[in-house]
Amino acid sequence: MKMVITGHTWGIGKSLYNSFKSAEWEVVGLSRSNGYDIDKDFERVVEAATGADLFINNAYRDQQQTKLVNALKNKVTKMIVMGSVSRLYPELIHTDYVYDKQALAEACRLISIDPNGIDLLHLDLSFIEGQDPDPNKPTDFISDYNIQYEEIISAIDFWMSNPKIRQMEFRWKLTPFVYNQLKQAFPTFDSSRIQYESKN
Amino acid sequence: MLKVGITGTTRGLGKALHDHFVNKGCWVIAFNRGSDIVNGAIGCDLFINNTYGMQIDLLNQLYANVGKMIVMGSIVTDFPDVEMPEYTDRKSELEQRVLDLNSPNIVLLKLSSTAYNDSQIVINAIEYWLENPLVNVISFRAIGAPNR
Repeated sequence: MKMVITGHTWGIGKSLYNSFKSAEWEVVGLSRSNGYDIDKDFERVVEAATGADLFINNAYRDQQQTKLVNALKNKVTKMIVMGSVSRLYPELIHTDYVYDKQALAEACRLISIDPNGIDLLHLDLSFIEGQDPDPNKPTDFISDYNIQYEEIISAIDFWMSNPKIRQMEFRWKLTPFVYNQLKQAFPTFDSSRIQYESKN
Repeated sequence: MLKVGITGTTRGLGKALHDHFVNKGCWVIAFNRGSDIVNGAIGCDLFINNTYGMQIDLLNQLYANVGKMIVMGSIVTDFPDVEMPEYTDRKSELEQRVLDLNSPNIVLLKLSSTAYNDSQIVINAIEYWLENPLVNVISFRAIGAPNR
């Protein structure tokens, strides 16, 4: 069985890469470090993932995740998509990141109403361990909890071990602490969309 | 001993959940038509808000008075074109209320009609959530013949 993952060199991507590898899957990691930038090398990424038994659509960059869903929805057997719970709070967070994750969720929803849609697991993640806030970024703050990698892996295990569930979504919650921090970081009166800094 | 309250236990998913928790050795309180649910459920470690029709009232009245709550939602809210406007509206309202409460002790299970009839999958999801309580929505969008 072959698994292909984007963004496999750090964070949850690295953890999943290692987890599948130790489970004796044939694992292919695609990252900028090995020449697979999901933006600049999009066609190469699609080519490398085509035919995979499982594609983990992990790396974020603008709308490239959504483009990968659409490009690969008929070319892989099943797909796991890393979304964000922030998409549910556009009133708090006016960033391109949120709108990109909304578009991603909609692409996943459309697959679930397609009778021929592939098996798909959509994970709306919240704060994850290993994401240290940048002190120079006013919109970064320390969360009062962080999802552990094991929690995400066990959600994936749940889906993989219940093959009758073809399409599924897990959504993590924002704690009241995080919600209030976001409210302070992104005042709702500010209608201008803040540029997501990682794009620049 | 875990004290579990469940609404709508005479058939279907509610009955399967009742049997599951009884077999696990829990103290299970079954609430059916005519039960004083609010007073009877106060103090439950786990309350399963299963029966359609009174879910929002029970959510509002009990979320602060039970340990954890599992709310049975529906995937119909993801598909607003489905011709069940009243049902869809009520399930959407329920889902929005869970989101607004943002409580660390509540999970919404969004079930399809197939999931309602496959209680083991729902039981597996509940057991997952009890181990991973920072998940607040688990949605079963499509269940069927596996491609895998």
